[in-house]
Amino acid sequence: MKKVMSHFVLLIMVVSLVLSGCSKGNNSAQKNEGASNAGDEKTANVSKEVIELKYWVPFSGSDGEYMENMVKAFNESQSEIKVEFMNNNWDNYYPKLLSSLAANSAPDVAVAHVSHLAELIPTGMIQPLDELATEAGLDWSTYGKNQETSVIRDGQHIAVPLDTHAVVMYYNKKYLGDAGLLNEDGSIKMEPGAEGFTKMLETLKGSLPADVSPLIIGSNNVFTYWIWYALVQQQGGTYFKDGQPTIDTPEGKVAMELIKSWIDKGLALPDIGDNSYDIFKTSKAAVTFTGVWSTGNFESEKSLDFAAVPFPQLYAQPAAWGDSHTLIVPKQDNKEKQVAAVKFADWLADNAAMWAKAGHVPSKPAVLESEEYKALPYRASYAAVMDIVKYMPDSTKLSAVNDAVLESLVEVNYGIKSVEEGLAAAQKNADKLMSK
Amino acid sequence: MKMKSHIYKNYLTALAFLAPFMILYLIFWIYPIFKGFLGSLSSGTFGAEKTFVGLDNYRYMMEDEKFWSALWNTLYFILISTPSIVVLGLGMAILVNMKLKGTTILRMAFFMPYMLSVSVIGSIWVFILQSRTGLIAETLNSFGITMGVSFFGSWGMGWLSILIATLWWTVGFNMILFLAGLQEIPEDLYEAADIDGANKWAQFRFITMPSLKGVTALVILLQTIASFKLFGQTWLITKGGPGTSTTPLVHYIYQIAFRQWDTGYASAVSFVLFLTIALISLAQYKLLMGKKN
Repeated sequence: MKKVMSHFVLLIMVVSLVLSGCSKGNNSAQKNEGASNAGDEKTANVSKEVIELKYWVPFSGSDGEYMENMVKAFNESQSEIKVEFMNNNWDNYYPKLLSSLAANSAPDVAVAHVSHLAELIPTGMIQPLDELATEAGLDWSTYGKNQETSVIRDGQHIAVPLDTHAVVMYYNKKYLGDAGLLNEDGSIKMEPGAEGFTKMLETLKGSLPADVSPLIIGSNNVFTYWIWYALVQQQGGTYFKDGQPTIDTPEGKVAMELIKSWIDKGLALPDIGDNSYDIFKTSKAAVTFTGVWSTGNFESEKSLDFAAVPFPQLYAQPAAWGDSHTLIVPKQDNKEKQVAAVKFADWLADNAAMWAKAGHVPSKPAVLESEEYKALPYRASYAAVMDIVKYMPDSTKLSAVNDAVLESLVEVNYGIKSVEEGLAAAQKNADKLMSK
Repeated sequence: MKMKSHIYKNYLTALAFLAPFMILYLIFWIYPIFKGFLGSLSSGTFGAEKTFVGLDNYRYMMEDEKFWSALWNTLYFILISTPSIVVLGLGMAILVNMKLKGTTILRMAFFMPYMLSVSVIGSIWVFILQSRTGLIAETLNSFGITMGVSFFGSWGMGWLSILIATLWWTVGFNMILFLAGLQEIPEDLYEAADIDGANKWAQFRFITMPSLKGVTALVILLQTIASFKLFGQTWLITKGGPGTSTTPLVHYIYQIAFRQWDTGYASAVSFVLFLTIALISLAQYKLLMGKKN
């Protein structure tokens, strides 16, 4: 009898151990668990209670530090809201954010790229912001028009734009000066159009040391796609039309033939990945198309004398690939927190001169006009790119299609496929992805 | 009657001791596999409502070129990685098992990379192999030679790079397994062979090799399963490219789930991968272990 009893007790212990793990999930199905709970009950009694916000960002690169400093500055600037900063690894940020939204355990406020909003919306957890913005005193007209429009879905703002980051052009002033390619004001002396640009590279090649490449781009990574995208947009071409990808187009061919011709003529190097930054930084290339986030990286190299300008116009109209960091507010019952989150987002945009140190272009024109921003070297000279950025189309399949296109474009750069074959394959794969 | 209650009690005791493991095993292994299979019958973007689509995902898979190329890539990697890891692991084990000076240091050196995480391995090998700024390219460059090959630029070179990185990373562990096997072999067998006048090769061929059969079978089995699960190295070193040429199955599954947000189809491919691994492991086990008896 005693033995049976002891078995029974053992079983009970084991079962209770396992079940206690489940209990939390059961009675809070509809609540946003991850949103910080401190202050929920007390706010009714004590009006001065601090509102705590959980804030997620994907800045595992060098920008993380700048954002952390901004959060600190925000926390010190007032005593009502306290933001708890959590930096996440860029690589798996969206799987994490999306899972947290789907599982009702999202933070109170989070950074999301404007290009990823379409993937987050199907969770039904993204709060439309217009009502909250009124309460928080956010004025949409203080944001850049291009940036503000990019966050409107079904007539409602669903995110607060913080910046624009685009692919722009950096060039080594010493090399271009030596080749006689600089104007008085430091801009590049070249004839208009794609031919003019290619000719400029050829002139450069003639005067550069043998181990310095006229142009450097990430010819086996996503930069190839971004540059191709910009060149297509400059010709007035489309990437998606009526919700369907348009990859294999005359504009697409012209753009890819231009990139490939630079590699074939020895004006740009094949087989280059993330080391494109280092190659330009160490003066082993004269011109590069790369992201604005490399400004901080480049300026840390004292021996490098460079300038940064918007992506050059090579076809009929100016355009550049770009994206925006925006702040989203996940749905939750505590409206006070949501309003606080919008206030915080607006504060970040207002004080984005701090954020611009990371290289990004602030989303509010007033910030661009501020002395603090203008005092930053390099940044102001490419700020105009925010007006010509062509945001990518809105689709839940955008990342998937981008990946498929990139795969083919890289094969073209390596000479595995011709331009025609590459674009045809990309079109086929993109169509297949859309049909799923 | 008394007998029966005794057996019943025995079962209960066994169950009580098994329960802690069994319950966790059921919740974290069996239930997800079952749930994954159910998921593979649905369609819809991650985070949104799912719709039941029956076997549609499996039908799509049959016509999905990228799935077949990923499967072929995976099998190719198993074919090149398994023999090389067995030969290299055994060679290293024999080397460090010799009673020579410095073998302790060698043993440590060979095993060391295994303790690193895959992200470190990825960074190291990109740093060594990349064109222009890589260690090899820069070294050659300082002698005035331009590196003529591109380690990430084609199907063949891409896989060679992944193979080198994987070998460097994991061969130490297999060496330890072989080393344990070598030390199990009784010394007197070799002594007897010496007295009978057998040379070193004959000793290796007729004593060492047969004695290591079990370990070899284990290494092959573990390596096959590990190769099926190849992901980190391709994700970090070649990013699956150029094109899809170094994209193995798990890499593709990640893309489907977390770039295409198609969890249903990702589950379907995962399930096929699971069945393939189970079948191949079973066949290998029967084949390699069966010979013993």
